[in-house]
Amino acid sequence: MDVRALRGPNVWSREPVLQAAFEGSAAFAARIAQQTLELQQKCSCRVSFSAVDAEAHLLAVEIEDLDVGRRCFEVALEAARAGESYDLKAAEARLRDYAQDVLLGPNTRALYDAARRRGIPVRRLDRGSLLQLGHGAKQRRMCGARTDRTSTIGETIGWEKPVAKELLRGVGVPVPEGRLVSDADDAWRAAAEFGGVVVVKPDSANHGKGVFIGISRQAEIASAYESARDAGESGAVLVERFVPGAEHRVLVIHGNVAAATRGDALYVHGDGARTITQLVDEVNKDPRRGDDIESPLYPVTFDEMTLAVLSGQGYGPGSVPGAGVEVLVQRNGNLSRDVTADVHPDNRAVCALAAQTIGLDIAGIDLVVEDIAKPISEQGGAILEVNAMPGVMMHLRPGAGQPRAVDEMIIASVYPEGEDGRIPVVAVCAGTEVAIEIARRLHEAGLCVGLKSAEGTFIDGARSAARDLLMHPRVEAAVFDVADAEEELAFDQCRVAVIAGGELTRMRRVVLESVPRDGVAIVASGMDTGRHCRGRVVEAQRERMAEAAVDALLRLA
Amino acid sequence: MKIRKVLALRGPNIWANFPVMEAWVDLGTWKDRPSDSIPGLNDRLMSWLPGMVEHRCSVGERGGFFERLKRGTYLAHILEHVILELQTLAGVDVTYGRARETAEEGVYKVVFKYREETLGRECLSAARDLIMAAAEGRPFDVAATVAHLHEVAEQNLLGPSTNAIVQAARRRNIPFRRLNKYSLIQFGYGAKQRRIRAAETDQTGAIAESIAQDKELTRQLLQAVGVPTAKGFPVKDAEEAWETAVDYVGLPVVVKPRDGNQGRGVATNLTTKEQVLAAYQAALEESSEIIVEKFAPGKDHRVLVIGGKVVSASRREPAHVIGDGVSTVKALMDKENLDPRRGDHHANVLSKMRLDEIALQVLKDQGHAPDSVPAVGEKVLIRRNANLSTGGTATDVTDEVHPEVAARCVEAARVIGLDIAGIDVIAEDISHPLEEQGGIIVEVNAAPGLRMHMAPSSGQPRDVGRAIVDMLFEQGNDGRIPIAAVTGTNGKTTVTRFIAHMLRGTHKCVGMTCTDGIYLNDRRIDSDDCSGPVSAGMVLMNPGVDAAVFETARGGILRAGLGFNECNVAVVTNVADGDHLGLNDINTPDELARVKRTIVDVVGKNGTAVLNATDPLVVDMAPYCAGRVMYFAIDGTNPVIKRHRAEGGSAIFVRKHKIVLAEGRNEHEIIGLDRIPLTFNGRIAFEVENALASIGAAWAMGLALQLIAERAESFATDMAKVPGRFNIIDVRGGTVIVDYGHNAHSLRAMLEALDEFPEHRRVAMYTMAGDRRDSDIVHIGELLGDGFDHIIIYEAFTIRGRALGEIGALLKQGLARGKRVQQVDEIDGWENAMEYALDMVRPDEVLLLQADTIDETVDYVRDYMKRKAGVEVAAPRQAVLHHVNGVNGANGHGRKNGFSNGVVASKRRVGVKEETCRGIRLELIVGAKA
Repeated sequence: MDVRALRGPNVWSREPVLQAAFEGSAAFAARIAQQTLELQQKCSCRVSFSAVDAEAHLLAVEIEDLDVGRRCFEVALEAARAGESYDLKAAEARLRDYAQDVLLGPNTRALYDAARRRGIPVRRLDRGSLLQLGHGAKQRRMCGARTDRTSTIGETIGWEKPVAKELLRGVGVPVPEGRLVSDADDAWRAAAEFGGVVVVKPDSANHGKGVFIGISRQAEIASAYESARDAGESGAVLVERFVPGAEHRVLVIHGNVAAATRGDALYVHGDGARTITQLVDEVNKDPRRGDDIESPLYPVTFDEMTLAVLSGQGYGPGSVPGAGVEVLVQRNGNLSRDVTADVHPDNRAVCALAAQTIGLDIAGIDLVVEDIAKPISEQGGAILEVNAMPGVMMHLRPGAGQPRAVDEMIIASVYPEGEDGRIPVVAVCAGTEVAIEIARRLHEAGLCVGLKSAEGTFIDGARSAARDLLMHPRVEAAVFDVADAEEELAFDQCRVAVIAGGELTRMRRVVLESVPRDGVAIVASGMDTGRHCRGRVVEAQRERMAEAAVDALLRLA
Repeated sequence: MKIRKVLALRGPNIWANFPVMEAWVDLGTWKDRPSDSIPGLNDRLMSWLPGMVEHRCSVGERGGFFERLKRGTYLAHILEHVILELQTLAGVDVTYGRARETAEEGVYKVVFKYREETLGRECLSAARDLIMAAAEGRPFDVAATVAHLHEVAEQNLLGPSTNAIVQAARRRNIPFRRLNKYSLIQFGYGAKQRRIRAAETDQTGAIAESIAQDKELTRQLLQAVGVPTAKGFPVKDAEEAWETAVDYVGLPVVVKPRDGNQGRGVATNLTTKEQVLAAYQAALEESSEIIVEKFAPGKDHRVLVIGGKVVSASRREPAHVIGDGVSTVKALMDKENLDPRRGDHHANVLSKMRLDEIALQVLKDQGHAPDSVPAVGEKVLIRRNANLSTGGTATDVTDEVHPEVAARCVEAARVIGLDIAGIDVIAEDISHPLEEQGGIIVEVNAAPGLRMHMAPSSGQPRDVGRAIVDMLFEQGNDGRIPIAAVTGTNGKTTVTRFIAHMLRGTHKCVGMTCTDGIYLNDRRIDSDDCSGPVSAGMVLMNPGVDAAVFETARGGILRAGLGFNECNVAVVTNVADGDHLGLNDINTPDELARVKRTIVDVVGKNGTAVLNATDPLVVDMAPYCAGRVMYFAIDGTNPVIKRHRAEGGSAIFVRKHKIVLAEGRNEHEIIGLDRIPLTFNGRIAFEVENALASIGAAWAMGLALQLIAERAESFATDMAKVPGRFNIIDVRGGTVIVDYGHNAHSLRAMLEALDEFPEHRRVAMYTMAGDRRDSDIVHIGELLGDGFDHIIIYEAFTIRGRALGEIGALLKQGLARGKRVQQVDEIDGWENAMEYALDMVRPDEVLLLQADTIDETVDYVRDYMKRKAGVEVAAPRQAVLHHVNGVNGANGHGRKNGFSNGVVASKRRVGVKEETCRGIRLELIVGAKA
């Protein structure tokens, strides 16, 4: 079968579809189309449309992602041909695995959807999380909760812990004081300097080995020093103030605290028989825990932090705690709880300053403090990390408390309310001369105009090899000369459509349907546009059409 | 010869307006041995370091220093010259040095300019070893030492690209500071700061960089906007690579990693299946995804786009040799590598050619091997890519770039989203449009190397550092925020706070450092003594701060220089005698004045020094100010003021109970003293002086007179605002004054002020810090004895190395001579003394509590009032965001307890060395004024 993707609005749908020419019965084609749709849905694709044109011997299935759609189609075809003998279950599993790899992750997906809800055009630029929002000169880019204004220097400062700490301390943001120590005695002296209760760890921590948290007695510190020295690669040992309290994640967007969650601590209770590993296995049976997108909690793993927390209490994964003994496993391993409303104004200011100092427009701040409703400084709390590209799911779907629409806030930081990132697009089904005239008039009005026509692509009148005007960062208005023979549009919406007299072909209907409610269709006098146009319809003589289109456009702008 | 200590004076200092190191050198047994008396020393020095012949020294001509050696000079002086010479040999050309005797015989301060601290220290210790070897007639491996220092320089100095940007900023008087060991640099101060890291700025987007890294996505975006690129596709395996090459792209092809750097793993002009398969394997080393694209013939160019403009272009040639018909490829390479411009590091203009795997393959493709002999004039490639880092060369062609080519390059940078981009253009001739000649853009690079533009192997060098700086700071913006610096013996904290209070009238966020801590507006973010350069540096690093006021104490200036290299206003309140003399080899008031003058030295051309007209040592600073001078004094008829005004200068003084500001003949009445609460209706003379200095400074910083008057009215001294600065509290009808003064001058001013208070009986609770001279402590005792009826003396953690009871004994020595004193009590410990003093204060008495530790004293009085009277004294203090000592009380010896047993307290104050106390080891480089 000849298969092709129609990514823009097309005769089938406003959404992208996979179109295939078929031979044989329409019923067979309908089965394949339906199966393709269902397979995609099982892969978490959000698609709902399929159709068969028996006359044209074409079928179409809505797709979210071309590669996923194509593979689902191939499986559907193979299954239909093979009949009963086909192991559909196994194929489904393979498709799901593949889809999980190539579809957007939950964070980017949330932002993608939030932009779409605002009417902002969004498209993926790569197989990762890179998105283009908006068009032409108004385009912006995002990659997860990272924008095109997120500075690479800011990101690397955030990773480079010593520099980040110095910068933060320098502007008065509390961070855990600490220093390298030279021997056990020095470790003890450092402990006294940093408030008595400290974390002792190798300078280059290696999977939580040799990390001791919250210790204060001289003998403990001395032995922690020895272990940390032996566990690290360099032998250098760091003593840091222990920061008591709960772990919080504070999301800062453009200088404002958008949301905050508190991670609750996770404990297991010994029974005198089972090891901590076995007790944790029990915890992991909780149906809310899973690696997939939908699960609110991750399974507990013995990662660096967990091992450090255990060793701080004198345990390892193999230890068997006595009956009734409570063992802390993760300081933030349990449900995250929204605490946005509780954040003290001082703490808001400190978090905003931290993000600004590191140089991040969007930052996830790891903050440890007993009570976020009181100033951090009064409680000996501290900021442990300032992260670029923070996750948004914990705020959108906290384990408890009020969900926060941080996806919308992030999009609003890119496009303020009232902006949709669109540049004026004119679709012309009235001949190339009309398109050229419109482009010329718009250029004269001071805009950088891109024109795509049967005679080629032009930017401000100069021939250009540009393939995609809406991706061009200089283009402020785009004019598309749409031929009746085309099967899909290169844009999802046109503010002005110009339709000359004659038959209302399928493609012309698609163009009319692409006019938004606040758009205008300039049509030949007496033309019946049916109910295809949601916007205003203005009739004009052919020779007045270009002028009318430009007038309409400039008035709309 | 021993080096006792080494200070890195990272900002302007008492020696110079640029960073220097100050080494305290004890000559020991060599102290009486001039160079001419040490057999063989001079000859060895002259033969080991012949370059020192260039040192003119005091003789003033070439060979001057050698002349001094022959005449006989001391080892400290020789040390100075050897350090400078070693730095020069290590690649850092510095010429400033001094060697000065200290008050201690045989101990010298050897001062030398440095560019990088680690290297400076290494040169110092190497110089000492060298001189000792020369003096003792031992051999010394000079070459090995220089090689080692070279390596230290290579590791620690800024790379050439970053350095070019830094130097460009320096020429525009934009301050800079290195934020880490690598190339992360802050330009400008506070809210005006910008950051760079090599050729990346704070506006270089992380997304744009990742796009540039992805060669396939880059190609797609370039195609989308019509920038000519090579036709190409990603391939899954070696077979597909060959198929793609033949069926879709057409030979010859390029095989390259989808993401890669500096041309690693790129193979070009491949025509055979064997080549393509091998190239595929090689590219796999760099990336899991491989691209096959059409090879475009032509020359390799690098076009540098900065801020939407093409600023430089160079044509690059891959590493190659030209045959002579005799030498082998290897020999030709070795010969070429002898070019001194070729080094092993990026720091060099060119890199050495290496005979690695790729080179062997490239040679093989041309039918050569390392030992084959190319014909005369035959060009043999060592690499196919032209990157400088793999041995290539660069020729500047900036002036040849066709405007259409430039436009494509700018468009490419823009669609990728980079503010600084290196565009790789393949074209036969860059002076013609790409489209005419099948030219293409192959790559867009983030953080491009700059050295091929700054120092091309031929053609015009381009000042690309300047272009970057100009993009970051438009003309007229030097990245500086208004800075006022305040020094003096007394009153400087009050003046600092007062100026900050006034600046708040026009600035959103005023950063202030003083002996009580660091403040951002009213928010206190540190509670230590913050009158040193590290604290000032913190404020200037804060991206919120848009004006700054720094109390600048002598200790910090001597220890590390200033934390800023230029200020708009410098205020010197006074240089009282006796305070801190004998410390750090500052033994006379004149020397102390030299230290304090440092802030006057750095007043900018359009700035102002606000100087005390009644203090001759302060008046003497005026000639050192590059800007204007304004004098202040209560008495406007002061001769200094009269003379200054006659010459058109400005002054501020009191007339008829009003503050008057004069510029030459013009006068403005600003505000009545009765409206400035600080002055207690003008009764307290030293506060009037403080008000004059502050208002003068505010005016010099451009504040409107009306605003100054309003702000002066709202500046109050109460314990919440100015802890420890002449705070008056009513305790059971008695007047308790808390003040920080701790020297003769402030005590005299205090006694003068007390005359304004009607109470008959005066009590003082007082101690002295142990690091004052004996005579000063005795003198204080005498003043106390003359001024008070009852003195409570105690000793605290500030004994600073003295034996217990020693300070008390000295004070009592002085008290014995006092004319007024009736009763002296010696109380053990500060807490007991406080309790005792507060318990005994009566309604007809005035009690002076000298607060050496402001916070504790104020806290204590508050706590006392609460305990005894149930009265809350003042509004709670601003939150302290950052406690150096961590969680209060968490370790069982928090602040309260710690005080009485001295553990925490002594840690807090005794060693107030900013650098170590806070664990801060920021490398602070304040560029010298150009």
